[in-house]
Amino acid sequence: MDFLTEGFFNAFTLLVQGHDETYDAISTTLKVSSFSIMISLIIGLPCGFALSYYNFPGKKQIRAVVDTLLSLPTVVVGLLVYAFITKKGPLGDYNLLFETSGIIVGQVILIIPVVVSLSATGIESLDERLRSTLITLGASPKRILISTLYESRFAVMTAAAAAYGRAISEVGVSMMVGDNIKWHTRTITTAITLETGKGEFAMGIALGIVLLLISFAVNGSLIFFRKRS
Amino acid sequence: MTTNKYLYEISGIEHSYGDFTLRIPELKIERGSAVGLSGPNGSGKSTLIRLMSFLEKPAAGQIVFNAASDTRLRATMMQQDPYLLKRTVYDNVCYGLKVKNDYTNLKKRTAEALERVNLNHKIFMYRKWFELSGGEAKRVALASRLILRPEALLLDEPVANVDTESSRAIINAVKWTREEHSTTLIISSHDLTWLNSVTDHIWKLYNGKLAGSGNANLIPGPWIEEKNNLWHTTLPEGDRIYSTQPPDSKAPAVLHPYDIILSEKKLTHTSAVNQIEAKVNLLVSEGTSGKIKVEAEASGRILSCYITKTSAVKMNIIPGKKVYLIFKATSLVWD
Repeated sequence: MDFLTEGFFNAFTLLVQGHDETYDAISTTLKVSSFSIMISLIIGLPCGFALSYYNFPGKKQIRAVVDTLLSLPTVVVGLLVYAFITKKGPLGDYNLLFETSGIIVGQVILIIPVVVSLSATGIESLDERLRSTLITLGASPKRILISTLYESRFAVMTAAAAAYGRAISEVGVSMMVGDNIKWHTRTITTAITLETGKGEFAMGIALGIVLLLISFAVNGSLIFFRKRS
Repeated sequence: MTTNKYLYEISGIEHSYGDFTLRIPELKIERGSAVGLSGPNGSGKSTLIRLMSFLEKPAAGQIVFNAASDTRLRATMMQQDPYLLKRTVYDNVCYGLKVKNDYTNLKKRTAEALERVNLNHKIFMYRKWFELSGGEAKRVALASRLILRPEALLLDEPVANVDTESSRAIINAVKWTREEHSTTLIISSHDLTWLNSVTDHIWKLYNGKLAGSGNANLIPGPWIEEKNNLWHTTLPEGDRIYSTQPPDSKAPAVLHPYDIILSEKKLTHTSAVNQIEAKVNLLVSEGTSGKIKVEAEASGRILSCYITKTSAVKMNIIPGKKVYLIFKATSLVWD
């Protein structure tokens, strides 16, 4: 057990002293996951709205596919993205492989189903009188979208928090597409995997603590906004 | 530019939900008028209001608003159980202005709209949606429509399930918007007396069809054939109303209030086969005409008739008094 105690002690030392490699992994993770969540919300929220608000042929089937994609294995996404962005792949010319932009593409694919499915569920649970109220008050289709998302803001925030949690905690995409390159594509989760493999627990524990703190911060903000509203 | 006399021109609309079909061959509503829609539950009042609010398109036929079916609409509707956005009262009331990018004097106009429905803006302006009673929520919903100064204001059962204070505030606000902005009012309600007090004309709906207008009593079927070419329907508490042959056994009959004689006793030696015992519920003076509208409950159904003030005094007609409503089978007519 001594090595664990020592690991925790060293982890706090690394965090307090501002260990460059540790903070670089944290910074890369925050950068990549922030871009991923922003892109996913921009694409996913209108899709979630459309999926819940409109009736069209194949709606149920699309919903079933989106719900199935919630449990998409990260390594499968990593493999697919790798195949597409490798030099031989159809998107090889964009030089996304082993770049943070490649990881962002993979994470967006991974978390869009979370945003679409959870926001669609939230909008579906809204009062059916909302639509007629917005129309009778003169709202345009764009305003109806914005106001409906605002009315379901708790569900939207929950979707965003769940999607962000999936983005920062995934290993498969970051490892396969980013290749865990030090000072470049190394994220918290890939660094933990590497350091644990090397028997270096201190950095792994330090990064694990940061990951947990991020999760608490995200959920804490959610609770705060919910209470405030 | 000449303005069309009619704000709404409805022709040949048909709209179905399951087994129910609303069919209105023709209906014209004059600009600035106040029209009531009355009828039992499921008669099609709410469906017609939704269609006239352009929330839904009729399956057949057309509704022309403001002499053009594609101009910018200026009709707004308040539902029976209105929905408030999950925001403050202020944000609810001025939402319609914001979506039109009209940000002029928002606070002042919101305060005025709230005062119009008798809600103190200093108390209510920043209350959240869940801090309102049912009546207050309905008044906030009405204020959010009044602030838009619509050409047509459609209200679906505006005073159903609200307290007396809210009901009075809603009536006053609705009357004010008509007088001040010449808003055309289309109001559905079960309450005929209330509807009479705010509208110029009442259309009665029954089973998805217009079945008479004005103060006419509507007698729904089913009609069962008796001998001598007489048919009857049974009122909720068992009394029968006799009629001539209906067009079909489910058709609603229209009985004009002027065709009913109000008597203290049953009549003998008369050709009127219908002599139904009733209890006077309400007396309403009809302005300076000297007429009094009497609403009486006959075997579980409210029927209206008219008497003169002189007769009312002579017969001592007061609420609770037992009377007989007398009318001929031929007085029941079919639309």
